Amino acid sequence: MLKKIYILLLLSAGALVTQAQEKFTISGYVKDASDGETLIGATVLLTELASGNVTNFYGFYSITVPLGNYTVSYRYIGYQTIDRQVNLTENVRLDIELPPSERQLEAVVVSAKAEDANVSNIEMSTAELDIAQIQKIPAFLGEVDVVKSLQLLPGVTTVGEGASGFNVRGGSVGQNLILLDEAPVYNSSHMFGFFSVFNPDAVKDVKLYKGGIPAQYGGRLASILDVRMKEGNIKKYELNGGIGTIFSRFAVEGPLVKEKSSFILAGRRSYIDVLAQPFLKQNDLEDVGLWFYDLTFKSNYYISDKDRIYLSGYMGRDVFNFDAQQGFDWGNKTATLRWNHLFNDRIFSNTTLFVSDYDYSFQVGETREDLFSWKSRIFTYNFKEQFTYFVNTNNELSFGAEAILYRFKPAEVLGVSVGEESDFSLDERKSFESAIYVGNQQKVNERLTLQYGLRLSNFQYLGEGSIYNFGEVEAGERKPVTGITTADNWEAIQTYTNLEPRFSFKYTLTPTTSIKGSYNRMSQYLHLVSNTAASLPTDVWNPSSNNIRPQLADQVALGLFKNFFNNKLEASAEVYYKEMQNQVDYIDGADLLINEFIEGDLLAGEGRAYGLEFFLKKNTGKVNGWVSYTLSKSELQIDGINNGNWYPTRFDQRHNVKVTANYDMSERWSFSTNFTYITGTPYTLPTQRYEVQGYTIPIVNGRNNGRIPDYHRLDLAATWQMKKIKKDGSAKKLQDFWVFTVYNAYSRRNPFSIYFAQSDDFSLAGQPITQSRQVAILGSFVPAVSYNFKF
Amino acid sequence: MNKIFYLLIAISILSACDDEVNIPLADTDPYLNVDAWLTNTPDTQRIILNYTRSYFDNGAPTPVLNANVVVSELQGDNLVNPLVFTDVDNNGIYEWVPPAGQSFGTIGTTYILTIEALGTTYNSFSTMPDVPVIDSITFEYNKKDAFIDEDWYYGEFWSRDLDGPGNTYWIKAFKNGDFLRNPEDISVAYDAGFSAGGAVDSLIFIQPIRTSINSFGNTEEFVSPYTFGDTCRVELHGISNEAWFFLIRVADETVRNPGFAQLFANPLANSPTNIYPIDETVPVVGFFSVASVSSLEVVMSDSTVVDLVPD
Repeated sequence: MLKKIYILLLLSAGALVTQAQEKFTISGYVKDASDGETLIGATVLLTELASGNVTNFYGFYSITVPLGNYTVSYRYIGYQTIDRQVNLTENVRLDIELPPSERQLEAVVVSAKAEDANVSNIEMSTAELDIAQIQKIPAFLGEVDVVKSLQLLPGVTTVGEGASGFNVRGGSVGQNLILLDEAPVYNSSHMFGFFSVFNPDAVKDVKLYKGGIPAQYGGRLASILDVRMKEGNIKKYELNGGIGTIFSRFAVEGPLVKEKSSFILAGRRSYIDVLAQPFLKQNDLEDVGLWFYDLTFKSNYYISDKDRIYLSGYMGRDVFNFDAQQGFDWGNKTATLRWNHLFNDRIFSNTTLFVSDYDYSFQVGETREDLFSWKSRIFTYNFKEQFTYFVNTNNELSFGAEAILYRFKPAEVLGVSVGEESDFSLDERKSFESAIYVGNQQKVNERLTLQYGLRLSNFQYLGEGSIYNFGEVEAGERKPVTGITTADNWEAIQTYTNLEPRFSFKYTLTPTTSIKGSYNRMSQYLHLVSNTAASLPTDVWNPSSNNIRPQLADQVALGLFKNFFNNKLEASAEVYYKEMQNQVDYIDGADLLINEFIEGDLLAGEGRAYGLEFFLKKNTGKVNGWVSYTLSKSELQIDGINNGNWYPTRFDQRHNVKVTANYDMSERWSFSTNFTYITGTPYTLPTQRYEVQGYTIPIVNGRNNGRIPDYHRLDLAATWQMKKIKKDGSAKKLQDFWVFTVYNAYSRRNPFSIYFAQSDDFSLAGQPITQSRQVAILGSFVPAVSYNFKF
Repeated sequence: MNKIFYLLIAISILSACDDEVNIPLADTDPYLNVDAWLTNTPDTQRIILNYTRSYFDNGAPTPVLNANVVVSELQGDNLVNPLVFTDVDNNGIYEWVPPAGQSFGTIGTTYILTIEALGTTYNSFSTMPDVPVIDSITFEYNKKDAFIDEDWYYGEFWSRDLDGPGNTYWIKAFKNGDFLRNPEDISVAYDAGFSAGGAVDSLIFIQPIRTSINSFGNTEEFVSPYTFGDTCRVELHGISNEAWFFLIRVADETVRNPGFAQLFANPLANSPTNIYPIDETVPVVGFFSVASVSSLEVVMSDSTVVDLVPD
């Protein structure tokens, strides 16, 4: 008997060995030959098999194929293609550096992907922009902006100028997970949303997942914005910078150890306050401050062929001071340490450790004897382990685990009244979120590719602290506290577990046409509670608890993808339907700031969003650009609001059209424009009025039952490249260009909202005169010029 | 908070536009509005009954006439000492005049309002809380600066919140006898601070509540809240928690800052009422409150001006 088993084992081992002898792996990194930056999403194709792979976020690829002679073709738009002949008799490591295409300027980079990726890639419901393209889009005040550029793509919207964040497929601002080198950024805006926190000089790749979200991501319902920072030029030192109307940028990058280590340090600072300083000083106002800055740092080190570590960090802050004692400010700080390790040619792993600190505070009071200061913070500590197993050319398995510890300090508050101090800070709260996931991308046959996965997430609301129980009241009223008990440190007060299935398919109909579909379930354990028109920096993040259940979303999407004219023109049409549970809102008159019983003021209900997205893009040629159209609806049903009936969200937009076009006239001049047309977002109308104690009070019958007029805007930009060559024909070290922009070119006063109020005047009957007023955040066109350089 | 954002906006480089527009509104049926705010003062006590009307109707509201309006004390389960409010001028203003030397109400007593009108009966109740005295009112000197081209003064009242948590107040200010009646001037306090949960019990009212008695006017030009010779009267009303919440809601719904501040505006919503019709399907709005009042009036002069923050 034993002998039999032994023989069987021997045989099967032999089978394995034979198999191993037959198949070998080609793997390695693909990089930019000019600066050593790894290339994300470069295609590695085995010409003989017409099959291959794309590089991952770290520029790594791995292909396992049978023994033989192959031509390996490395391709990336904007770069020269490199072909390598490989006689595959053993595992091969091929690190390739692709030189940028000489004609890169004329052949404008729109998407840094394989030419037919639109059709051939399984990904749907994603939006990706190359930083070179983002830089060409006419920007507000001439400042290149990652988040604003994404808003030109289908399914991505904003309530209007000055609104922080963005909305994806009918989701709220707080339902986007924004990752900067894998660390979450809780507030992606500077100056209330006029600018985003990402410094374009330090950004390498931006990818937004609106649907079909892979199992490795989780934690938010609507989208994942994955921003990857540049690693820094490993070959030579480089300075980048720009001088703009509002702020200046500066970035320095270069090798630390030749071919082994590089860094990038980039910073921005606004300077209205600096310019105004002489004026303010003269008038005893030198403490008035209105400024922001951000600093981005990243460094990496190749320990060996198999190991590379990265250290990156971000620090940014917005400050608004009325004087030395009064004002408010907020900021994010993140630090990420990552370790890429190759266990072998086919197993790639990434270990991430990060900490993030987000805080916001304000202080009022003219002296130290009389002040009120408030500060709220969220600390996040994360450990993430991700593996990719390149099984064979048809299967790519990814699996991993994540653990996040949150520490919420909802309010550190000090009140001083005529020297009498009182500390009314709220207890720190802790939560622990963890997830394990496994996913596989499987090429079933030439036509069908599947991606499927499961994510199991778990959330624990932890002690120590008070546990509140609330009584039932009529929906929409403040719930009374019925009991308070105390939890010990690290005691799990409430635990939630969710299984999140993810599934996508791509079916190729013809070489230029494919159908793609996806289903995903997402869960979200942190809630951004806000119902103001624009999201505020002081909006409160709340963890799920015994009183607040986690949000869940189920989304299905189906799309048709087609390329025309040899991939010169890409088109896609997608429909989606999304249902959301436990959407959090608050009662009228809720006290959100320093309220230990805040959960008694919160309401929960359902949401649904559905829509249709069209996208047509011309990638190449002197004239290039895209057209995007979204037809969508986004609604909520919350007991206690709008009599419990469905109502549109504040960011519900029925039609949304965007056109972006570039014209590269010559080596020196290029022009770009974009046009936006959005049908009006909702606002709430009153019906009647009444007076109590002389105040005219509105009576409202519903929520978001009116629509502001449509929004449309045209922006223009011109880029003027300075001479690149000296008179003697040699290349100039300094490369510089000017960007001229006009935002809102025809000065339309686009409505942001309509509001109702009593005016200061009284009628003949002695009654306050009521009126409705329309607000436009920008009243005219905004011209700007910026100077950008690199040497 | 709204005020802080407004300040921010004032120094913002971007100028938002704010234009009057014409919005057609749906017609709806009018119903009863009750404006019943009584105080423990010797003044004539008034309860105003009228109809709600279309939001843009700037005419006088239609009075509700021939109603029976009675305010009684609740003692145990019994209603005692009914005070009948009468509409002498037939204008929907129902009055009760305290006998000479007397005033309305006793601190700690619960009052029941009963209204028979429009074919049904409405009830409400409110308990009269206590109120602390106002110790003093001072005026703070401010030097002119880049934004304000004259020296200016603001008033500040000094009083200490009563012992024990949960006292709520309405601070009403009168400049030269005129009530500062703009919605922006609504000032309420929960203990010495803004809201429950703030451990500010029995402190001197905190900033900026102490200086909430100043109106900066609504004109483009800066107006010093007080100048020499002005009188400033502050009434501190001890009100119920429900009345405090009602006023917070009213301020939320009526203070609609223009321009940029609209970024942070809440959606318009209804204010609560504590008037309960016997037939729950009958709509009604308004509020019944009984308050105790302390007040102090001073004239701005050299002896009342201080400089708390000397250069």
